Amino acid sequence: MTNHKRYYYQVFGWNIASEIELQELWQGDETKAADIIIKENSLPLNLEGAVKKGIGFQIKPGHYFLHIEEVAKYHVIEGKEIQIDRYQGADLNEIKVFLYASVFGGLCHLRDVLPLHASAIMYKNSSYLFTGNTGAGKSTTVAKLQQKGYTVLTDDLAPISFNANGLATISQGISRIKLWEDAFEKINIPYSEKNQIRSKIKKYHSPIETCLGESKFPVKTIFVLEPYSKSELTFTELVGKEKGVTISKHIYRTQLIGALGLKEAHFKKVAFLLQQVKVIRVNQPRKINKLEEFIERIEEYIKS
Amino acid sequence: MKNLIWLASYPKSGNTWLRAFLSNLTYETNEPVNINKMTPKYRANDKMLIEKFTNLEPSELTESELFNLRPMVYTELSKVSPNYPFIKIHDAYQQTAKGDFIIPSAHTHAVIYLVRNPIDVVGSLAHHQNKSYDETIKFMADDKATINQSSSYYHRLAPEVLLSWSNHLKSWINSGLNLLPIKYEDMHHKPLGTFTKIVEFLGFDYSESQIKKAIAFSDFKVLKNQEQQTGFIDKNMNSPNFFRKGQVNSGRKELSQKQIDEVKRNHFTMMKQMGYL
Repeated sequence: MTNHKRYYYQVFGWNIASEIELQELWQGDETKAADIIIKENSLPLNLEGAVKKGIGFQIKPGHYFLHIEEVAKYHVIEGKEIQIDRYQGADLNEIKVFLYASVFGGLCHLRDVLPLHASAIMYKNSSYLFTGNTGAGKSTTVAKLQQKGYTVLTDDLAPISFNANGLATISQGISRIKLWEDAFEKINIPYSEKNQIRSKIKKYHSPIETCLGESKFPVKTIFVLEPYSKSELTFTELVGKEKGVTISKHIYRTQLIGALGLKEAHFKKVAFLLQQVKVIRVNQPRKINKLEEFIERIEEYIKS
Repeated sequence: MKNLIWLASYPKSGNTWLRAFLSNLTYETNEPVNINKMTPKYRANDKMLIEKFTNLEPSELTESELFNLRPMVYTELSKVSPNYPFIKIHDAYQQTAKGDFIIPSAHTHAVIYLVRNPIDVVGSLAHHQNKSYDETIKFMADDKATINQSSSYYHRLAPEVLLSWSNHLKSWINSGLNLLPIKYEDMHHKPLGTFTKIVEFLGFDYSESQIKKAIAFSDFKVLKNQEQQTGFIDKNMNSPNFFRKGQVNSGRKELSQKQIDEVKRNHFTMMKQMGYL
């Protein structure tokens, strides 16, 4: 697969030139300068001069290194280049799973972008984000909203950029939503075996249907999904300290911030975000028969 | 640092009760601690814990990758914890494919292993999993028995490999770890003596009146009442409630003689060793 051919893509408003074919990204414009280059390179086992070594990852200012055994090593350099050293025989789909999640998460921090662990939709040129812990239903929510005619911006990772005036925006991400097998059944859309994200995991891609290009959509509301065991669905607007603490819990890959030397810049971005968005906690019954009611209430909020 | 404290048990053997006791003991409040805010805040198979220390998306890791990562996650947790974190675990004590034991002995302060008569576990586990008694008896004899395996999109827990009830028990009591075995039945019949033994084993300094208060605040009726009022996050989605009867010998009333005999046949050696036969 290694060759000198370059593929041009666009994702999260970035122009990418890649030596690896990444069909899940939107087609890019090869006449534009690349913001990020993805290339294959032989990488050592350790990041030289690492200031933090965690389980499978190493960091130093400007650099993020991830090692997934039997899959690949990834090195993100200064937010401008991603080097990938794949294991012989590793499945490209597996390589992409880690590239689009943890590696892109590290890339966001290095590009001075605030990555929220969230899925998002666009409505009337604003973006509405759905964050929550793993398994909270972020992807299912946006898949269901897409089914109802909304345009999905991103699934699972929402990099928030700030313009010169501090306005928080997001652009469209990877062109697919990842859903568990039972989520497809519950929202009544088909899935294809060939779209399985990894061979041993019953999670599949579903396409994001509408391309919105490089446009930036101001972040209006962040819904924090918190499934619980009670039967009523509740929406609570968060304010003050609780608002900040809750959003901070859902920043993607916060473990990297300190060792990358980005703490101050990070807190500044969080403060900017909190000033301009509404944060709504949604306590959602785990029983699926509340999904329709939940989606209707979300629509009421978005349209109000 | 040897600071991790493990609350280990086969499911439905009193782990939540012990958690409630320890929460009420350590929080030192004047009313029972909310069951949804109990210690330990860590569950060994919580995907959030795995995500926190690995930088990886747990829902995109295979079962074996999750299992292989867990001993490393607990080592990191130990390193960053200034105190003695409690961790609830239902897995059997076993090695990962990489040869590491599921919990790192070098970072383990103590293990409290709870064991309950398997005849009573059948009734409670059947209710929890919404399965029949026969299915549950078979499950408890299965050396491949695993919980939390379903690929549900609401699943926040990684799979836990239990083995059979007998081999679960054997794996822990033969682990060589600093372990205190506690019988669920003793927690019922001799609460003060049993909970005091746990407190002393952990090296905690609490008075008899503090222990008595924590026992009262973690009484089964208090826990059941709280679940009715506020719900309980650990409840299985398919089960009407988490706290059911909390009794000793309930299995003998619920199971047929044939079913009781089958449980005895399946687990004769270990039941005898624990004084259940």
